[in-house]
Amino acid sequence: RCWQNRRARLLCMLALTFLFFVVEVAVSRVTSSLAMLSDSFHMLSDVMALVVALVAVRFAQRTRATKKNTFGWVRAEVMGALVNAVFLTALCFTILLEAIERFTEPHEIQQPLVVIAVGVAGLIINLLGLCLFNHHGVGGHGHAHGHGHSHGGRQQHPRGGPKPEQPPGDGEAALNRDETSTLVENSSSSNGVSQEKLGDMKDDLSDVQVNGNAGHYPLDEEEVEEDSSAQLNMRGVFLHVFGDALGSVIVVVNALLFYGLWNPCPEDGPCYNPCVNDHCMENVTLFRALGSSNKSEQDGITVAGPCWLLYLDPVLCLIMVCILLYTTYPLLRESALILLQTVPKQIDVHSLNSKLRTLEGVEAIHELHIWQLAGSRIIGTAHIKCPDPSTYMMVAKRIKEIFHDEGIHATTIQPEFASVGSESGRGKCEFPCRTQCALKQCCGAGEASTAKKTEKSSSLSISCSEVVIEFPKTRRTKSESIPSVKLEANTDQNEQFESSL
Amino acid sequence: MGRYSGKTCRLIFMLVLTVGFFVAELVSGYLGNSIALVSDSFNMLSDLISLCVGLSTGRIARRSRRGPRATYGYSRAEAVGALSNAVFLTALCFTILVDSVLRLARPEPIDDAQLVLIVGTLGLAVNVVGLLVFQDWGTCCRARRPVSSLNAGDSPIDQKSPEEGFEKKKEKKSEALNIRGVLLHVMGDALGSVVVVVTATIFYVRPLGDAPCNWQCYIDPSLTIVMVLIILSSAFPLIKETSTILLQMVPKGVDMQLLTDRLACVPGVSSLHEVHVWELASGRNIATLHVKCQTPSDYQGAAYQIRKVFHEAGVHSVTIQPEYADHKTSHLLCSSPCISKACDSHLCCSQREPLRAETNGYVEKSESSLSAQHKDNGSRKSDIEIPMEDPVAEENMKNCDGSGDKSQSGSTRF
Repeated sequence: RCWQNRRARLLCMLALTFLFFVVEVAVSRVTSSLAMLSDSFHMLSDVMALVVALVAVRFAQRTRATKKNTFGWVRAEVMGALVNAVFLTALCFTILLEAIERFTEPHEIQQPLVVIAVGVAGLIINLLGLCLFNHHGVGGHGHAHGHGHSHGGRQQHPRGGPKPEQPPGDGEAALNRDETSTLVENSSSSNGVSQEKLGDMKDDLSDVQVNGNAGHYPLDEEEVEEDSSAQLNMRGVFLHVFGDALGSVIVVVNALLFYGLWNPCPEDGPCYNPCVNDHCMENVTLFRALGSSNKSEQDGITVAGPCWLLYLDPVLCLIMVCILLYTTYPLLRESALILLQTVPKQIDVHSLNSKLRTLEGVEAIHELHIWQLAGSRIIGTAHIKCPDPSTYMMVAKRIKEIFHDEGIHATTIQPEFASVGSESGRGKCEFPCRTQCALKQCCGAGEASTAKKTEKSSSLSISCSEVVIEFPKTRRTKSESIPSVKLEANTDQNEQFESSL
Repeated sequence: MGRYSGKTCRLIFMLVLTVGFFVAELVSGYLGNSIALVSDSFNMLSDLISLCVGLSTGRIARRSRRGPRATYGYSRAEAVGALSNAVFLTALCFTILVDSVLRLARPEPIDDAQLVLIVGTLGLAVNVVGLLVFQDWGTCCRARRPVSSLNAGDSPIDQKSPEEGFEKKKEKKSEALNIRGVLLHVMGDALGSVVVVVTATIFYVRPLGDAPCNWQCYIDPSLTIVMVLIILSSAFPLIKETSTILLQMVPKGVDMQLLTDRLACVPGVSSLHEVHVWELASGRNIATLHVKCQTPSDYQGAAYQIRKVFHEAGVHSVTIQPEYADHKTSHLLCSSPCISKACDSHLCCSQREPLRAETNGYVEKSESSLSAQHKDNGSRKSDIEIPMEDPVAEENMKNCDGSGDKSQSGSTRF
């Protein structure tokens, strides 16, 4: 059961890697091999990636809203994935630079046997890591989307029975409980409860918190809940370990070939190394060549082994960099798209919009925003224009159903009611802020041109920016508008709104 | 607009300059066997990459058209770009640190101190130029608006309207994030050049010749380590700031406690939940909330007031979902979450523990009796224990101005 938990896996790998790093440093001191020392630092970068992933996992388990973050910290894993991906790219960049450096100044491998031994050990550890994270690694590609409905079925069974403080995965949840209780205590209180009430209830609340978290994470639920954000995070780690494994492979292959094929310069006797650009040796060679050309081979000048071996290392490094970049790019892209608040891949805003518009009672939709918080939590907001409140009550449930079908479960729908006698439909938005705030709104920024819109409305109000799919000509609209909620019943309130401008 | 030419122009100028100098520095670094120079030249290359990232994300963010793929546009690209630059820089610092430690283990002298000194000084000049270029607005290509420094909060006096002032401030702030990422790299570069110059000067003035390495050989790596620490200490604030945006945290100027208190005081509002405030990009805050009211007219009255409260808090895009309290569902729960309880894990914030203090802006204003809990089986007995009907709740009304009697009427529920 230990292996199921993300955190446990990360910790195991972290311990292993760090241990190996220490071993490698020690061995390099003993054999005074600089190459091995520098190689060991790749392990250290692995450690750093694991630390980042661990921190992200820890953060992401605090799904409660806090004073600092009203959504909880679930997004931490996506950010961890991005950080790891960028980190990996940077490392590829430095490896690239090292490889170029090796091209200009090729090194021989000293003591290939030791290098082989340590390389194999590193490879084994990396393969172990790959197995640990493989569940999330390559398969992660296809799992990022399509969670909307598949989870529905899977979710049923954990929620079936009562789930008080005793989740089935006792040991696991206990770990969670201890950990998260400390975490939760740290998180500041109340997103909204008044302070006085909270004060006397602190003790009960902390119990509730602890229980809440334990109840929230029974073991099978945690497995099921390991949705795409966690997968992203694990993929980042997987790619790091993969890169390390490739590096170890290259080291081993290189050392093996070197050991087998390289004709080293012996300690004693003259030796000519044609691969190294050494002015001194060039003169010697020339001299000898001028001297007794027939006897040069019998003179015992050893010529150091095939030169292409020295270039094998950088070439393999280049190939490895290409492979790594190729596999890192999808992760980078995916996590960046989530962080950019884009619409998740599986949702088609066009069709959603048209479905909503075809509902009876819905006159217009605007400010439709869909974005992915993390994993399967997709959030939507929309302003729905209806003729009157009772119509809205009728369609409200239907609207939520439509969103639900798309996989968007957290929605905030703002109904707006068209006024009597004004022009129908799409014109007005119950616009939140005064004119000068237009540029500070989510979608009221940029050019302050409002000229396009003024002719549409009768009153001061100007229609607010609308989703481009509805009104193609307003693609660049950044218009402003003035609060102008008009109701049938409350005309005096109507004036109140407008006059307050 | 003018800002296109201003910022992009600067970036392109730096790009060209950096490419040229990178090549020069690389060659001389190898010739002179100075690791500081070599790493400095690679810093130039990384500088190039960060400039490209800065340029491209700036371009992307500017074309913040909303479309079916991104309903908010791409204005967040700058934050992502800044984060990438900062992480990239951290990774590079890590490798430089490793190299320095290795150098400490096996010190080598600089061979051609004079060459290194010359190139190092040139590099320093280039970096200083870069720093200046990014500090001053509009020195390059004469931006349309008058010059004001990057960090100034004051808008120039000849603004046509407050809107323009706000726009400029906003664009300065969001651009600042993007440019800051690039600036960080340039600053790291400059420090690297300083280290190179210092080391080369020492070796020039006191050449080592054939003598074994003395203390002079240790200057290079130790100064490099100091430089790395300096760079890291300036990269982390940038990372923190971009995290605030990217993790959907509450923006800096907004105090959630105060905000929810004020919102609770709005007449007509019985309770609030699912209050979310976040920052799309620098300066643009967005909020959503669910409001429980008794009647639709309550809601209409409250809606404007709610928006006003948000406006004063600096949040200008608000989406309010009204819910009408009925005796069936608990006063604390969202009346219209998704259509079934099975979706709970997909909600941004779980509905299963609404009574806990941390639950997304839950504010209960009126005293209420224990309403029937229509929760799923995941509820715990502690649900009932938390007393919303605490008489203390009544006292909280005192905080609100003039809402005393309103709260009384609000507390009588049907």
